[in-house]
Amino acid sequence: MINLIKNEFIKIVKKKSFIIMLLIVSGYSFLTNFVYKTLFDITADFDFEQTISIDDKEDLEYKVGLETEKELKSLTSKYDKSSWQYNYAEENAYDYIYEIKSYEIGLTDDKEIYEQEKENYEALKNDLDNKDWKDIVKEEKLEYEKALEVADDKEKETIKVHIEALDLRLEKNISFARTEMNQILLNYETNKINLLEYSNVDNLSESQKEIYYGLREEMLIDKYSLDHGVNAGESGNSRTIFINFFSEYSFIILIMVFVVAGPIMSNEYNNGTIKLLLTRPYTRTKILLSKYITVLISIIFSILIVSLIQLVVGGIVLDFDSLKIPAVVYSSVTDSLTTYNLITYAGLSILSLLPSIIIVSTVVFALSTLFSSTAIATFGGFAIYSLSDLLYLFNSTNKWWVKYLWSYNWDFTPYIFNKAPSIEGLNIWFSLAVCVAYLLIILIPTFVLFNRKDISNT
Amino acid sequence: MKKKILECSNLKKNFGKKTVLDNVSFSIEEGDILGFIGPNGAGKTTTIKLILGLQKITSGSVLINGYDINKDFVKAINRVGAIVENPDMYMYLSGRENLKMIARLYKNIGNDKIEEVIKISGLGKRINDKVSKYSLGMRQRLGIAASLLASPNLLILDEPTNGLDPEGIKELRDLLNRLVKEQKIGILISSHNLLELETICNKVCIIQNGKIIESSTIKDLKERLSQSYYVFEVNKIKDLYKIIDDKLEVFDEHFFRIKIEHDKVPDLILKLTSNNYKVYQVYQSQISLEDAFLQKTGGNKID
Repeated sequence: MINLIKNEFIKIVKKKSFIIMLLIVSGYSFLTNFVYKTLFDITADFDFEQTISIDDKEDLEYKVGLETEKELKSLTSKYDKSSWQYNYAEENAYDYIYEIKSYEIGLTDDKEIYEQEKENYEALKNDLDNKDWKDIVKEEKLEYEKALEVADDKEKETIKVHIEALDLRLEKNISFARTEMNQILLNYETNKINLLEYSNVDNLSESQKEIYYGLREEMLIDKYSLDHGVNAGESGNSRTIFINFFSEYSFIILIMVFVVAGPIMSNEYNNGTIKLLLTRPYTRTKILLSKYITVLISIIFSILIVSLIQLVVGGIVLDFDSLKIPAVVYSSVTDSLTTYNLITYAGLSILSLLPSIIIVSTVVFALSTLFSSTAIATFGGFAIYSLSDLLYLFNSTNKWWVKYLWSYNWDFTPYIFNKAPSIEGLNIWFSLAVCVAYLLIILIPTFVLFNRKDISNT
Repeated sequence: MKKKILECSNLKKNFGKKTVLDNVSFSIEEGDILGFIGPNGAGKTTTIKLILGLQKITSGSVLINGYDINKDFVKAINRVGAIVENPDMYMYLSGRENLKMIARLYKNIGNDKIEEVIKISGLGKRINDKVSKYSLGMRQRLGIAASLLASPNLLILDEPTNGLDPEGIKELRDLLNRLVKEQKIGILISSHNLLELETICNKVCIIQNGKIIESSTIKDLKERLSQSYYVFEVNKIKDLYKIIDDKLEVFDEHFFRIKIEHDKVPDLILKLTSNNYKVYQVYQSQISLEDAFLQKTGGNKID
């Protein structure tokens, strides 16, 4: 039996199609990474300020806007783009300058505000030149603490978030400069404030729940990034591409299933080599079983190879550094994050995809055996796969049979990563039983019919 | 008594309602080379497939070395080497890799055995080339080598002379003769090339429309069919029928063939010469197996 399996492996590995497939997948992986790299570079180079076109329109409001931009630019130009001053000025000076220019140009005539804003603006300029950003943070914090005393309950919550953010800034030493960490901190603050809207989770509708959990996820990942000094939510690095590989590039796995399982029996029939195989001292059951085992092992093996290719190509094209950052997975069941190193994460992802991969492979294998046609086998496998998406539409119906459909049972991601199951009430054992039942329904007739099959004359 | 290696009894095969084989019985003993002859579609390959368990027997039985192919497949097939239809091999592998794959499926086939069959195949260094680069004749040689790997005592060769050159056919003939003599095996060989079978086989089985219509030794068959044919060479054929009452077959202006008893030949010569015919030569006709076959089946027709 082991020798039978060994032979099947030789047949697969020595076949050109298998090697070509691996080459295509590597090429694809290279391209994907390259596209991300290019996109990332373009975005990084993009200069937003150049988009402001200067036009002599006789509109006061427009003129104020224009003058404000000019003034802001002359202020920020004093500082290096990567300095905290530059970013802080850009984010805080606009309002002051706008009010000042409005008065000067004649859009408003409230001198009091003008004086006030001018004072603020001068103070800001003074702060930029003479103070450390930490002092500014401390001052802001004091102001919020003062405001906390007079605020109502709802405002208090918001202010507390601001204070927390300022504390984090000091604690993690994040200046106002336009850095990744600064951006994460701002996102964290915004998400946390938005989350205040959803005080009672149990009363939310399905779509609101989705938004709520989405915000929780983002917020927790931001927090994780801040705590660990890494960007766990960044897209466009090799780590994220690798993490998404298993969910977004499942079609690659599907193609590998077709290449491996599609021709495994039909080629033997069509090339006449089936006679070579069936006149050996092995029962047909053993021969078919060895083919089936080979299909499963080589598909898993191919997935591992392709993952490895993605990892290496991603590292070469984009970066190896981000691969050290663990995968961070949010579970809405426990409302918490779990971290996995990338290898473990890849292993678990493959494990959770395995039931679906095995079922599709089995369908393709069975059709290849019964109809001696790679085309029928491939089409059948594709049909089962795409039908599963369609069947998801039954999600909201309460029909008793819905929970027995493969679509809801063959993805083990919810069980392995502790997420909510695709429909309520499903658990890992039920899904496992359903998957095994499907396999038996496909495999038993295949083996029975193959044992009775006449090898036709060519 | 010689040991029976293969025994087919009352084989019947239906495809749907159509019966393609009916009441086919024959056996092969140690040392036999059975020629299995029949026109296209007569059921030769189907019979071979039933023997090898590639198709299911509707009724009847196949015993190989005493084991029933249906009930005891693994034991029955263990000492069988076969080429069915074409010498199909894995084209993307080399000849040697193909042999190694087959060897792996039996116990105790070592490298020595592989080298031995490679030597028999006569493929030389080409054994390391991919089979896709082989000619039909080379594949046939590889197929024969492959069928010998398991040291079979029953060898089944479906059209093995296909694609072989005359030299290859001679080698095959010598090989098969050596095998039956030295290793006490039995061989079933089917072919369209009937002239070739004539020199290889000792037994013959003629099948037509799924039924065995003749089963005997080559010697018997040829003697029976060619018993009393004599070919005459004369100076002219004209008006021969006026002096000869028996039915005669005219080949051309000088040759004719006639079916008469051995004793009557001098009388006929006398009769011809007295009627001013000149007789240059008379010989007993050597009928080929092909002629015998055509006589038996009434031409190469498929009904």
